[in-house]
Amino acid sequence: MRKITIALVSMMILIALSSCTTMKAVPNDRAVKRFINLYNTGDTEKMTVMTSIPMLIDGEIVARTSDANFFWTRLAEAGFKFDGSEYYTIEPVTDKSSLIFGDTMEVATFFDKYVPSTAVLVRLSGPGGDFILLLSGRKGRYPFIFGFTGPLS
Amino acid sequence: MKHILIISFLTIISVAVFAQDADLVFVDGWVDIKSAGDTFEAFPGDSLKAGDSVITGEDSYAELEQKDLSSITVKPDSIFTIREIETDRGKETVLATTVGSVSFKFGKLFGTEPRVATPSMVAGIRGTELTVYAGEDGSTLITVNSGLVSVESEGSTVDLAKDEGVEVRPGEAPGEKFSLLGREMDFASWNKEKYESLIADPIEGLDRLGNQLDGFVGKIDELELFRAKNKEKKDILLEEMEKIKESSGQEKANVFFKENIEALALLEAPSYLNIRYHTLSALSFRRYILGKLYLEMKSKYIMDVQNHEYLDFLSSYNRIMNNFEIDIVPYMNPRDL
Repeated sequence: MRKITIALVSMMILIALSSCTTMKAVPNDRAVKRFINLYNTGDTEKMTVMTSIPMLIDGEIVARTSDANFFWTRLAEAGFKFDGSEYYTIEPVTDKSSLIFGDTMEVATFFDKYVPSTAVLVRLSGPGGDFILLLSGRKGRYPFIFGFTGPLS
Repeated sequence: MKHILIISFLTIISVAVFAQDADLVFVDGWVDIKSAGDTFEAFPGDSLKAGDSVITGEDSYAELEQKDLSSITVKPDSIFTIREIETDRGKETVLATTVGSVSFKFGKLFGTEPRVATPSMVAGIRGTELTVYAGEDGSTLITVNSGLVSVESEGSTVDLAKDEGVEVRPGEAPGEKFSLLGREMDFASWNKEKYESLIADPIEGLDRLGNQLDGFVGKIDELELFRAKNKEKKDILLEEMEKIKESSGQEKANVFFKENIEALALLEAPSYLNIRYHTLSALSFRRYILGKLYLEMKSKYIMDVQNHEYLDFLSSYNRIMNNFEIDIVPYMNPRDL
């Protein structure tokens, strides 16, 4: 009886931990892979939930959830997908990372103010070239997306 | 130091008398408040002060009440901001709708009358119930249920009475007013039509939006010119005051300051406030209207980034953004983002 109780309590703790939300967890390889797969399934509602608002798209700060949803929906409608989920690189954010999105005061401030130091830049290929996803934290199985840019020239 | 204290005191008093804050009295669905650069979920009882915004989602709305019992309903998918501007009548509250739809029912007002604004117009009001629709192409539709509204854009004014409305396109004078009688206003359809018209020719649309941003820059430039002239006058008078101090003593210099320089110093605070007003209006316009057009084009051409229409769009967009960086960004601070 005691073993069953311990097992149930452990299971409840695990469920609670897996569904907890944090913006500061470092996304590991498995989380990144899950995120790319999530995007490629075209589940735009879930993508919107996993979007940290404000979000950066190139040099534009997206400040409304409805605009983020609009963007993910339009990308899905256009048939935009990343090339598989096996080939990507993960790098930590540095002082220079903001320049990938744009050399402006707004982008620099966005990084200073909204991007956790634990964020990573995921570089992966898609139609027309390489793209960068700025990911950090976790909610359940997926990291949050803070930024999207590409194709890089 | 004494003079600086007096000036600061006067400024604080004028804010206390005329600022019209608002309290959130009802929230349905998820609503955000943006205040001093931070965004957080809104709850009934939250207070909004000048500079704060209410952002509603696709399925949410919020009701606010001011101390004079005026009520403001921020409808779904809208952005509403309380701003302040200095006019020849003193400091006035500006209730700004950047995008979406907001209804106003004004009670007995205290201080100066509030103004209602969108990116393309400013309206003066008098005992009024009205609704403002700010479209995603920068256009405005304003309808009056009771009272009088004076709509101003590009130096032209149209006066609206009960059951009248008018449309204002960005960068243009108000159009012909129309009667609301027997007419059902459907903001969603109006906004869809406006947005489709914008993206039908995105480069021409972007140019129009760029002109609208130039309008904000023009207003900031005028205020800067005023400030520069004011400073020039003040510097000359300060030199004169130093000479008086040397020749006739501190007391005479203080009298000279009070009679000649203090008034000039007092003029600086309003021009700073108004520069901030136009800066924040430009930022909202860029963020929610121009930014949405950018997302539209990026997502449309993400599989065809070498498309000539997209490249032409990017060329105009980059030019406008460079101008924004030069003309608007120096007046912004990190808390605005």
